[in-house]
Amino acid sequence: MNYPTDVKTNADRLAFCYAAQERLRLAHNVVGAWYREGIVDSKALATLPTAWQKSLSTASKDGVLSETAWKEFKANAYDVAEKDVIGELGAMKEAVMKDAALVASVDLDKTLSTATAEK
Amino acid sequence: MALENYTTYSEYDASGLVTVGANTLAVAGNNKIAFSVHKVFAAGHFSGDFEHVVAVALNDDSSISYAWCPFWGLSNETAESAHSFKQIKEASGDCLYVTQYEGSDSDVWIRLFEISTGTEYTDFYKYGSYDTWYYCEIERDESVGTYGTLLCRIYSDESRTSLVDTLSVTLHEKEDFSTVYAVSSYYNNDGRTYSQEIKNLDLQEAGTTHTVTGAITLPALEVSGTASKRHVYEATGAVTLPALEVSGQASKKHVYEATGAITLPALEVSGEAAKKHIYNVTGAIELPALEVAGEAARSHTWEVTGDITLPALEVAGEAQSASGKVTHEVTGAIVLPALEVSGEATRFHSWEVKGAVTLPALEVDGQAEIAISLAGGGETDFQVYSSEDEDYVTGMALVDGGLLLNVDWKQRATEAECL
Repeated sequence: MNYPTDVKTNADRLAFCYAAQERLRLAHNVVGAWYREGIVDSKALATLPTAWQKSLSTASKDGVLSETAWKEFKANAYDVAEKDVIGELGAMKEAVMKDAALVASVDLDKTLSTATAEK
Repeated sequence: MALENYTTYSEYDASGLVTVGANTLAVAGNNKIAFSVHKVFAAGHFSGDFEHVVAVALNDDSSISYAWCPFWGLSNETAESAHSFKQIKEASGDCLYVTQYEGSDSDVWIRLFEISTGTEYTDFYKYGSYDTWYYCEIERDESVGTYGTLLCRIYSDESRTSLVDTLSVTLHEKEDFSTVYAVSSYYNNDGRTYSQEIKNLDLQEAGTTHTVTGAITLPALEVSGTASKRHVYEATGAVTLPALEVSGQASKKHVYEATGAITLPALEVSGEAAKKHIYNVTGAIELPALEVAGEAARSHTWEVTGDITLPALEVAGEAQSASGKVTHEVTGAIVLPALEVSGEATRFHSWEVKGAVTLPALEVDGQAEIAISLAGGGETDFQVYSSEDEDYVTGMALVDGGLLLNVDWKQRATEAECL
């Protein structure tokens, strides 16, 4: 997975991973709706990665995405991309959680001003 | 791939909180009461990568009780009692599980957990709704991260095309599991009540390939009720179907559906066959030619109840020996068919009979040429009736070479007499 040049700290990278995962989810659902409804809006299609646009346009027949094409997309395009992002997301979570400098900077008295919401 | 049948799972539910159907569970849950519906497989059954699917919904019971409502999990617990993920964690055990959770503000959470030696790692989605089905796809991919990653994809539709969120936990140990949970309590976590429905767990396990060196015996197929699916064995080499053994009275016959040409195997009978086999056919059939190598010691009897037509006897070449003739043994009255000869018949047909027979009258329509010969040879007088002259005529003829007369066989044959 590649980060933009201005995303440098682990915290920024973690946030970027979450954002990338969300963009990926939305792209997944564009293709899912295409398969489900048999039609895709050209503006929605343009939001997909270029490689996906090409391969799916080639795979579709009369504008319809077959079950085979949908499963092919899921297994060989979406799942691969999702694990790329999630693998990095997991690594960034670990990195942020174990950020010793950040841990040392926490003032518990100032931090624990409210009770945790979760029971 | 097939849905798990929950009725084959072990149910530990002393308080009767779970209603178990074949593919559905209805849970009147309470975190104060222990219960679980789970299945213990062989040690290490859940190893490597896997992907399980299941659907879940939390019903609105008009109270937010912060209940934990687990609906999938794996562990290595084998105790024959109700299991609880909370107790596994408190005992510093290991497990993976997914649970719904009643959050504040009427939010329904879905939370994914790895418990490794009692330490908890989690991810969650907290924007779910009551009375809404969520279709989950839980995957472990050991190639992502040092020990693998556990994912839970949450979809809002059954065809799993509309993705709501993907939860992920980077795993902290590589561990194989043996016990899968269809549902479990979160005992003991106060009296938090909830109403939950779970359905269609599919472990998506492909058939296991066993390598065998000797002969194998497939178990008998037992079906109670009506079978809606047939089983297909995929074989890449030659297969020999086992002999069909039926003890007692068979109430059903087996139908093989074939789309191509089939060859029925030769019927081999050792000893005395006590039963005959009947093929029920609905279309036209063609019986194969009967081929006998060597000396046939027995005749074959077809029992028929309807009309039959025996095929014409065709002989190619010259029939050389008497042993080549066919004997039909009949016990009732038979009517021999009329003998029809087209063209010039060069041979006559003889019937050999051992019992008394009555030959039918010989009727000849039209003009027949007959030859008369005398055993003694020489010359003879004769008298014959002439239909043309309407009178008898007499004469004498040399019969060394035979005498050829034209006789109207509508008259009696005895009216041509040698005098």
